Amino acid sequence: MQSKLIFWVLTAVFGLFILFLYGPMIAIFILSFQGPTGGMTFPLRGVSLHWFADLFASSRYGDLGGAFTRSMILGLLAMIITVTVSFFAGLGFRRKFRGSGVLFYLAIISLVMPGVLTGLGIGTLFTTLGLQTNWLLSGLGAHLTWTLPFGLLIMFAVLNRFNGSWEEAARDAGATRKQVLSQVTLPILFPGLIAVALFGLTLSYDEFPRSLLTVGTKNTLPLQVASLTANVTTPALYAIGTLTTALSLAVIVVAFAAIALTGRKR
Amino acid sequence: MSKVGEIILDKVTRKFGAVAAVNAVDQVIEGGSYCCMIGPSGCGKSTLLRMIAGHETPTSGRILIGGKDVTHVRTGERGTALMFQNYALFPHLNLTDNVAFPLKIHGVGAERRDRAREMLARVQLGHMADRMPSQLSGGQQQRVALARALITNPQVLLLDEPLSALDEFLRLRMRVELKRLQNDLGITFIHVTHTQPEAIALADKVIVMDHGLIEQAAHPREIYDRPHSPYVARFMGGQNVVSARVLTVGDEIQAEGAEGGRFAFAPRAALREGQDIRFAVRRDKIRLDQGQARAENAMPGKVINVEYQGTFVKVELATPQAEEFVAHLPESDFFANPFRFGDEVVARWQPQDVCMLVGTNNSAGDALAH
Repeated sequence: MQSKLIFWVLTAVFGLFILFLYGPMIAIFILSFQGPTGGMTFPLRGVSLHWFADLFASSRYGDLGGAFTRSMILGLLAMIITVTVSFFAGLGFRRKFRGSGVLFYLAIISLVMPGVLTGLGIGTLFTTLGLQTNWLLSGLGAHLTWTLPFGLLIMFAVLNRFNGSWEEAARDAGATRKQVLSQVTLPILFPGLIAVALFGLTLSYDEFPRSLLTVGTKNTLPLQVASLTANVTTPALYAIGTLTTALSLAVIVVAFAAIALTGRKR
Repeated sequence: MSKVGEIILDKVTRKFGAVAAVNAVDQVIEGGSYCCMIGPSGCGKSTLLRMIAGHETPTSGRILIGGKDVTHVRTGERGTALMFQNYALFPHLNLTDNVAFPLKIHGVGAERRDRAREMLARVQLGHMADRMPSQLSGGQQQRVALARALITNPQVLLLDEPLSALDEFLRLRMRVELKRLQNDLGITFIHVTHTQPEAIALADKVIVMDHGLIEQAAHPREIYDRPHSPYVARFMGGQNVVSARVLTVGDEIQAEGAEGGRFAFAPRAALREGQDIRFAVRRDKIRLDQGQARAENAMPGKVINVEYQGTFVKVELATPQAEEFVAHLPESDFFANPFRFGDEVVARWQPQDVCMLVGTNNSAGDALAH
């Protein structure tokens, strides 16, 4: 009797949490299809794609396309660098080299540091050196302080299930270091690397605090959206939300498809 | 005598820091023989195997395979193939591609898959050529690992505890198959194990190791029947080790146990009076009498355990000696004249059954401490 009560209480708590998690997203999704005369809140006054069209047609949203492009480029660069560095760093950390512990904690510190402070530090550093902050330089660096340690941690988890004797077996068959890497290590770790890539891309794509003081004069998408919330009061904001969410979902689907495709045979 | 598959270890040493895992080991392993290396964990047997395979480089010394110095030859190019303890099958490749992997590395074209399938058929897995390793049982995975190791026609097959991951039933079956395979192929097998019956059943030569040294290397019968040291006697089992002090040296050695028992046997090494010695007597050479009568080549004791083993009965005694003392009595003898817990008995043996232990290694050789 009592366990049944506990079950229902916990189920209710879980239900509330799910509502809290997805409720806003669903509301934004629905409201982005608001009719041309509708406002930012319910009720819906008709259903239309008006606000999506407005995004592209109107100039009052600033350089939204440019912000999106910059965020995408930053995200892809951060992804490529994160995957490459985490992969080799993870392999390297398997040997306990001198100073590996210190290096690991140094990497973790930048995860713990508040992002705004990291950004402030990078911004100040650039100013001190007499350099202009720029989204491709200081911006990318700031994002990497966040994506690299994250990628490394994921890589550790991935390598936890990697059996070193696979590489030994390849060497025993006569494989060179390059062949071991390309024919055994890389293909076996590939699904894990997709996970690292996914994190690298999304963490950079929606990064706000580290971008704030490091991207210079040109905004990334999160900064642009944040500034729009201050002066735009139309459902076009929701349309941006729907579009970026759809994009994220598409990326996730592609990633899972890639994992499924390579892992299908295992 | 063909040198194919012959292995010569010349003062091979491997140090990890200040510790010598393998310490100046000299040994010749005949081509085409089945050699088992045995010892407790940390004795250096696996390190030695890995050096022969080329996964470790000796700190000093030379390794020759088939008459060629391969000490610094890359692994995979020295005519050896290693079968890993956990099989190490590539999880992203199917069985055919797993077995064909060494051929692919050596630049063999599309025909490698045909050869891999042939090899799989040879280990009775031809019908599973397209499966993935995770779909196989432990015994099947082992066959695949064996096929992958043999596909390059190595002179020497190295097996690192190949049977330890299998259950008892499969272990005995695979043991037979390994022996048959070695007979068919005629190549050298070096098999590392910590299981004594496995070594004795399979090997033409057993190498018993401890602390980076070879304690004894000989035919299994020699190892079992004439152990070199108390360590070998205890580790290989089937023996009672008795401590005594030499009284007189002559045509036969007269010795005295701590409890005053008198022992006599033929000398096997130069001994002097007053020397502390140990000798071994096989458990199945011991006979028991009721009572406490004193006699030469006998040991008083009290029965502390009796185990029926099918073909014989294992009777454990508490004796004045510090070590365990066990008699294996023929089943019919025992039941004609049974012993019970607490019986006072005398264990006796014949002088010719005494094996003087020449070696000084007195470690317990606990087989369970691996």
